[in-house]
Order: sequence, then C-alpha cells, then structure tokens
Amino acid sequence: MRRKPGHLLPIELAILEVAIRLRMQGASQFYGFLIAKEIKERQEARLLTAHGTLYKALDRLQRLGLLESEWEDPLVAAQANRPRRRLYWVTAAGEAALVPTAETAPRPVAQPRRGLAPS
Amino acid sequence: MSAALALAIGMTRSWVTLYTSGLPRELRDARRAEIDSDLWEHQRTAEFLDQPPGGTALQLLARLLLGISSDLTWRLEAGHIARSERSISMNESGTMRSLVVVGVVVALFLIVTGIGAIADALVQGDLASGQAGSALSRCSPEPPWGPDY
Repeated sequence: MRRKPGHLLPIELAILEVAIRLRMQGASQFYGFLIAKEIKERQEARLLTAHGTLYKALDRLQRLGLLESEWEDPLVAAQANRPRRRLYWVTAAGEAALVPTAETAPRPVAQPRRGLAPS
Repeated sequence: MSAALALAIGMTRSWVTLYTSGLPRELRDARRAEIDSDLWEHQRTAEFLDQPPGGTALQLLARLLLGISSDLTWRLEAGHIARSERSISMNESGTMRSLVVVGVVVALFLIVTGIGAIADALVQGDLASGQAGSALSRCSPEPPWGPDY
C-alpha cells in the first residue's frame, strides 16, 4: 500500500499514544509484547496485534525517527531467565507527530473495538 | 508445554526463519530475537493468567496468520533497503519474488496443517501432533537467550 510520506497508520498512532501514556505512568521504555497487550486492553480487542503488523509498525516508526530502541542488557535478561527484550522509547519527534493528529482526528486507542488491532 | 502450544510456537519460529532468510545478519537476528522474546512473554503471561494452553496456541496462530502479509511487505522493503545499502548490482528481484512465492506456499501449507493438528490436539489430545509440535519446536532455531546474545 502506498502512503503519503509521514502519514501514520492507526496501529502506528496507537503505539505512540500508548507508549506516551505508559511513560506518564512511569514506564519510560516498552517492548513489543507489552505494547501489544496495552493496545489490546485499551481497545478491548479479543486478540493481540499480529506479530507482522506490530513489528513492521515499530520498524517503520523507528525509521521515521519517532521511536528509538536498544537491546536490553544481557545480564538483566539472564538474571530474569528470559530472552532479551528490545526496548523502545518515543522521541521528541514522536510526541510532536501525535499532537496534531490527536487534535484533528479521532483517537484510535480511545475507541473500543472488537477484533485485531488495525494493520 | 502442551502439544498444541509447542506446534504454534514452532510454526511461528519456522515462519520467521523463512521470511528473514537472506537478510543481512544483524537485521535477521534482530527480528528473530524480537519474535522469540514476544513468544516467551506471551506464553508466560498466559501461564500467569492461567489461560488454557489450547487457547494460547490458537491466539499465537492467529497472530502469525494475520501478520503474514505485513511480514512479506516488511521483508520486501527490508531486502530492498539492504540491497540499496550494499549497492549490489546483480539483479536479485526475480530471485526475491521467487523466494516470496515459495515462502507463501510453504507458509500456507504449514498453517493449514498446523490448524488441523492443533484442532486435533485440542479435541483428541492426539499424540502424533504432540510429537510433530515438539519436533518442529526442536528443529526451529534456538532462541538467542542468555548473556552471549
């Protein structure tokens, strides 16, 4: 699908909005499954966002400079006996990208819906 | 781990291995590790919430199935970007298209057989599907957990 440069899809807006809300709640960074779970709960969806949809959106947001990421310290993951998480955070550009959208368009996360998160 | 869950995880890992093949190592390993992390978190969260393994398996399968088109478009974009960065002059687009077609066929086969096997496992507790799931899980690349990754 061809998109206008800078145009954000609903899933991308949802990621930014949920990430900013998480930060306001004290979680400055997030990882893929966490954001999928938060989006599911806020949208009251029955399923988590599909892997392909979620990670493609995260990748695109990074390439647009709206998110940054780094891999978790291996020792932290080893101590927790789990795979390393890729930790993301919203950049200043990411916050700025969300503000005009939130003022002019309906908030994707605020509207409960059934089914998968939008791709 | 139940047979159905092992099969769903194995199918997801196999699909990720397939569509990331041929990408630069850093990109390929990052995607595989990220999906492995997601699978682990999903499984542990389901266990914590005391959700039935069969339901978790179906959720994983749905996440795999509904994300295939995005996976393929991401693969094409990532491959294109990687080729541009490497400035490779050889024509890989035909090869890539062939790989994608083969990938889609294999993925559809895996999904159709997987859905059948999971349904069997859920309904009958079929030992054969359990063995298939375990085997598929074993054949899939080991997740790069631990301090070395």
